Amino acid sequence: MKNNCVKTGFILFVLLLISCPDSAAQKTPNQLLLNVYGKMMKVKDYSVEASIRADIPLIKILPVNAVVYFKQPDKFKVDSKSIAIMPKQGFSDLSKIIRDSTTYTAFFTGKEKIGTSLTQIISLIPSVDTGDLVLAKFWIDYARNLVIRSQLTTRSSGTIQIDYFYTSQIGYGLPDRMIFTVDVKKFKVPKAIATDIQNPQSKPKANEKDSKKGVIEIDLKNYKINKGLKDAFFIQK
Amino acid sequence: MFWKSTYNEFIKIAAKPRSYIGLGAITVLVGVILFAMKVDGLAYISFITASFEQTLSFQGNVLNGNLMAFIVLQTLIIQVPLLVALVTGDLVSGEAAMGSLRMLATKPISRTKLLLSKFLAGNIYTLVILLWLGVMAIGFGRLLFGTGDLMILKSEGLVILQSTDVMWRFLSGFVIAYLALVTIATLSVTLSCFTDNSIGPIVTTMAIIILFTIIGTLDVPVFDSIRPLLFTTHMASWRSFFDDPVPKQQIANSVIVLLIHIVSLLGIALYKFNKKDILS
Repeated sequence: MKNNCVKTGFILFVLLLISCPDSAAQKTPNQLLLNVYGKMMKVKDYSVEASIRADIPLIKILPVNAVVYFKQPDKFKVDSKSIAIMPKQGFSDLSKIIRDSTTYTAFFTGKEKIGTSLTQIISLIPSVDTGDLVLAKFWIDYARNLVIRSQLTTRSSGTIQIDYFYTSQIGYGLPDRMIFTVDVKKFKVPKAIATDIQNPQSKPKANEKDSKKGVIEIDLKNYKINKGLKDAFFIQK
Repeated sequence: MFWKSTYNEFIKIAAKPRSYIGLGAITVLVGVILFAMKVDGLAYISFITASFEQTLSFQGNVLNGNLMAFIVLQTLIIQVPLLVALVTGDLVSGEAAMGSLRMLATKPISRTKLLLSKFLAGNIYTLVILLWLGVMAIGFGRLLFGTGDLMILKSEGLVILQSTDVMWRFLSGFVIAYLALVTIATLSVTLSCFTDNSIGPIVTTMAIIILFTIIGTLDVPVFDSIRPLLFTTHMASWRSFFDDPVPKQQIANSVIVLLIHIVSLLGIALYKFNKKDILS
């Protein structure tokens, strides 16, 4: 009799575990994205010191320091004494992409563990097929409402993948390190205006020609959040 | 006597109106380039970076004085040898044409020293031309556009050099460019020893530069063995200082080839001038 009770209890416990959904599954993809968006919106503006290292085929550049400024929803400025190479997309436009859920269809496409984070993968297809964005994928740490990785496929820039690493500003969802992996297969050097065009011996190296991916690593420190940056500050002179 | 003769030769160069054509031409050309870049420079830059800018954005002062200086030098380095030849090609043949060479040869100075003093005065003029080009390109370029990192488009891709790492490259590049211009000056002085009219050596020098440049630019295997021996191939070696890393061996090779040209041509000029039958 006692044995039966234990068995029944165990079966009930297992059934309970199976039937109990995890916290991500309780939410729809849109809800999960809105949670992330809510966290992003805690930041009205920020400035941060950035150290930028670019390892891009066909481009030779040393690491440079810059100050990055951002203001919601999409104002963005980089101050640098040196020439800094930044990805065209993905630095400040995540909130712009996910803020209006009526402009896209989002759905779960799997789970993945990235580092120590358990992530839910959400794919996002824009409702209008004439825009630049073709597909966006987000790896979201559903326990902390953080984007751990994103992948944006656009008509103009190909595919760009961004990995985010959080430490000091995790509460605001601001990363301390970002690694951009960009598609470089479209890069072509216009030979007619290359400075060594008169030297017939200077030809592109085979391995550089074949390279497909470029990596930009940005380390961010000394965030100054919600200091009230003015709109006029972002107007380019 | 040699230094006095050199001084006199330089005064003669300075007294000729044609000597100022080079300085005037450089002033106008650099002025036009800087004006065009001030007005339409960003369009020019985006033409260079267009294929990169689909994915990447370039932040910072891309259109700066260092880039302007590089563009100016890149554009004018072909024309400056012609401006130098305009003066140095006239050093001996001009005097022969005017009839003053015979009187000059009666001075208490050997023909070798006389020709060397003309050669040295020609080199000083070449230096003045190059310094003026440098002042116009770097000085005015920085004045108008400020300073910044130098972005260079090469056939292997884009090279971005930090502003603190640029000046020594310009100075080293100028040294090589000077050596290249001295080669031109030596060639025209040598040709000048063979004729008694001033137009011949100038035009012949220009024709040789054009011919060698075309041979050097043609990517045809038949010229592969000749190309490294042409001085025009090594005239562009100032640009090697803007490679990262700097190809030291390649630059050393260019310096050696240019020096061999200078010494050989000067030797021919000295031989011819010493044997020359000066009739007028």
